[in-house]
Amino acid sequence: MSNWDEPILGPKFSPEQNTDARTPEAIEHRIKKLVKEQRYGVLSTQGRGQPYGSLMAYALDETLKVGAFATHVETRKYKLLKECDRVALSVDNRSTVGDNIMAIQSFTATGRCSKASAKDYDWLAAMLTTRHPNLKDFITVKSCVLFRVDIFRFFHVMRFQEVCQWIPHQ
Amino acid sequence: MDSTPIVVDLSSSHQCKASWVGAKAAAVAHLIRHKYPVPFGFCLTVAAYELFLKQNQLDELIAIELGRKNLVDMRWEELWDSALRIRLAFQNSPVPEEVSNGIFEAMRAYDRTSQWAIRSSAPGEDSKGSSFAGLHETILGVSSEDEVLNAVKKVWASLWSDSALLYRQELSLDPRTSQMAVLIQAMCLEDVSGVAFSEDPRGRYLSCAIIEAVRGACAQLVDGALDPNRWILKKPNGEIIHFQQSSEQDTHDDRSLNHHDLIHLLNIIMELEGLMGCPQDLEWTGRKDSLTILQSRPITTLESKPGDKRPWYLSLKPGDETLSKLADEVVNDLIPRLRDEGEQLACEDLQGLDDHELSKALAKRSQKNQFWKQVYYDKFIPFAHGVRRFGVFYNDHLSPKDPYEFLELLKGESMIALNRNKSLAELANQLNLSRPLCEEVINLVNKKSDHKLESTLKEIPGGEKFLRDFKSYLAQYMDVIYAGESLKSKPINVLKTILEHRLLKSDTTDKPLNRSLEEHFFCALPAEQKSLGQTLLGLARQSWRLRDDDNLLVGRIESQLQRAIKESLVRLGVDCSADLPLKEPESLVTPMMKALGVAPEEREVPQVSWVTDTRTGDPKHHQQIGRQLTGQPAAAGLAKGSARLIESADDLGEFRVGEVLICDAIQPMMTQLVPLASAIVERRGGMLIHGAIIARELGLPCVNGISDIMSQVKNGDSVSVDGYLGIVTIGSAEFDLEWANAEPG
Repeated sequence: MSNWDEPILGPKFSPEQNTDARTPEAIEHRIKKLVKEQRYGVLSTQGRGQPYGSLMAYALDETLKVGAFATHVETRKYKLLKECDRVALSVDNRSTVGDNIMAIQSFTATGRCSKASAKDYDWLAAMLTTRHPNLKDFITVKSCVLFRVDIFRFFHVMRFQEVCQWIPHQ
Repeated sequence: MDSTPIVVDLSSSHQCKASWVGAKAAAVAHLIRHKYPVPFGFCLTVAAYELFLKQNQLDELIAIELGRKNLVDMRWEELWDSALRIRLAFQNSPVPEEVSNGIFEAMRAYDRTSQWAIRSSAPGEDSKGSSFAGLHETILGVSSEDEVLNAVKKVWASLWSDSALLYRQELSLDPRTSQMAVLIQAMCLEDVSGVAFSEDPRGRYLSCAIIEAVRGACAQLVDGALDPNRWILKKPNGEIIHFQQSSEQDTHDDRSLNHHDLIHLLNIIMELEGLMGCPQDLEWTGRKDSLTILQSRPITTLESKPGDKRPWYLSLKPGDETLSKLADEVVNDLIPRLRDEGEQLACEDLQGLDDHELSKALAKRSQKNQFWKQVYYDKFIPFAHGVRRFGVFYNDHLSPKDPYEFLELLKGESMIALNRNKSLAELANQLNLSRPLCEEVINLVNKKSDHKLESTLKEIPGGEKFLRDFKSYLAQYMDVIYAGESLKSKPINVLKTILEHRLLKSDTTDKPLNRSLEEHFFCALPAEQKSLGQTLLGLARQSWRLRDDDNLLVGRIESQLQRAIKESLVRLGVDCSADLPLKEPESLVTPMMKALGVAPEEREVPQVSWVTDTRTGDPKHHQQIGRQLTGQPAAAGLAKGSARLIESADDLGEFRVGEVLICDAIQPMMTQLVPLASAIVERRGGMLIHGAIIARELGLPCVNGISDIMSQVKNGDSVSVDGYLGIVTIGSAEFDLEWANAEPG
């Protein structure tokens, strides 16, 4: 039969109604929601083949193409960033949804780090301190460095194992 | 603060709070308090359920099972599968000692009881606003302590039954908060039982009560296994204004109700309506002094909106007796008739008919097509659920680790599709044995010269036999519709598939039945269940065998309608040379009949539209978003290959050995592709759908139930399919984009 499928369950149960849409818009929306709700994430760096993770206060711009964070020059991550500018930032919502693995969402953003240039400094600093007002004094001390992250793409994960990739508009 | 006890006695009214014992048990306790005759017993509170869940980490399992996909996107088959897995997990988990000791103590307190009724009592169920009779489980006639424990686990699991999951919104089902109490009462069975409504639930008879009665247990009436005697009584005087006699009972039988019995019941149900504060739906057994109230709940009906097919799914659980009758009808009457009618229609020479005869042929085929489609929904699908009935029975008695182990007992049944694949392998073998023949077939395929097929092949040694067998193959197996097109009308596509089969190692041997598992099954059954086990296995095997055949045979009738439609279109001067599928072909039947019935110059040719693009996954608009997609792990295994999307009859011919077959759902008319595939991925989910079954039989990995699979993958994508975990990964784990930005910018 050309239409042999058993009937669908009814108006509310149509298989057409995919509420977990994997469209660029839907993924972007989910990433933005995570960014809005979660002010901290784990920054991954590496040096001499050794990965390293640091919980960081971060900020991302509206387009999700550029991020910012600050660190003290004596930290391990600062030294590692001098060796290798490749980073990943992981953010998840465990703190808001509890330990239900199917309800947890996260993203990993891959990118490249550089010290904020003079041209970028003010807006990156404003972006970071608007989101984290308690860092206002911290970023002004001489031993603290403000970093810019250029994001290449996001890997969004939900329902434990569903992974989508999203690339910010060029 | 009071902590919730594990067990409460039904006579302990202050402990029978609805939030602890559920609405059903609370109502029973209320009746006991008001001295109504109710079977004694006790209730296992929601705390027992919680303890069981926590101790066995079943809350996590439920969350994972129901969180795998948005429930709104799950089809009924997927809900059924989830419910089966949850039920088996409950069954295989031990009841906490604190709970089992509580049950045993309570049972021993009633040592005069030899049999128990175990009933669901979920908080919120049977409340004034909602009654969900039949969605959760009731188990009757349970004797030993172990049997009671098993029955309790089944009732707990029924909180997550497929029926309950269908009505999850109405039931406010939530894996984190939903609970189930269990009512355990002495079994009480008199010679007559029934239900009584203090008002007509359908609102046809105003100020009237309805009483229904059957011989024996009320459960047979509630399950629909017995047709009851039905009385409509005027309130309050009890005047009988309508009586409908059961088709199965003699009303003069002394076990039926007399007028005094009816008045007694009427008075009770009217009293209960006053006591409970709303119209009541009563289950009872016995008469006069021996009358016992089994339960009383508010009258409510499940609301059904237009287009809501859930009641149809609820009806798909025919009782064992009904299933046997259905099997007899399907196997001995309907399938042979369907086969005969298909063959008869296929033999008719439509081109030789005049217009009037063609119009009549069109009408006949349209009517037959509609008739058999209806039979498919009314008979074939319910009969297919014989497999599910057996699966639940098998799991209940054997508690296997794999919920689908029972399928092993169904393998090896002869089906049209298996015979078709044998014929296909035989044709492929002929090509392997004759190089010139094979080369000529490749040549014809490359040139798409189906019109030269006959003349060319006849000239080659072995060609005549190949041609004869090929034609027979087309007529016997390819006279079916796929995506609106007759497969028989596309011989080049079929030849392409035969050429691919040439590359396979031929394995046409029948798989033997798993006799040792069968012995194990019968050994595990208690003596009194062996006969039922035999019957259900027999029914499941019949049902299994017909799971493809009914589709293919109904598809053949549809193909004959399509043939008549095409012939009529040609007769009416419509250009059909584009060879595309028709949009809504059945809507053309009436206008074409009208047109064929008048003189050519007066004919009004109906508007015809063709399907020009069937693709959902259009490569032009394709954007790779999904990297790792999850669905049901429908058949174990791991494979990697190039993706091939099947959406049209032409796609069937394009399938190559080793590709990953990606489609909406494997249909019986395309299962010849499956042996060529390295893995299967389907939009439609379910462990007992065709794709999953065939993949398991052939040992191919299969993942199904990925709602947007057709738009996430495009032809040629490298795809890996993990049938162990239900994961489909598209592309490789690359950092190309990141490395493209490696140099200082």
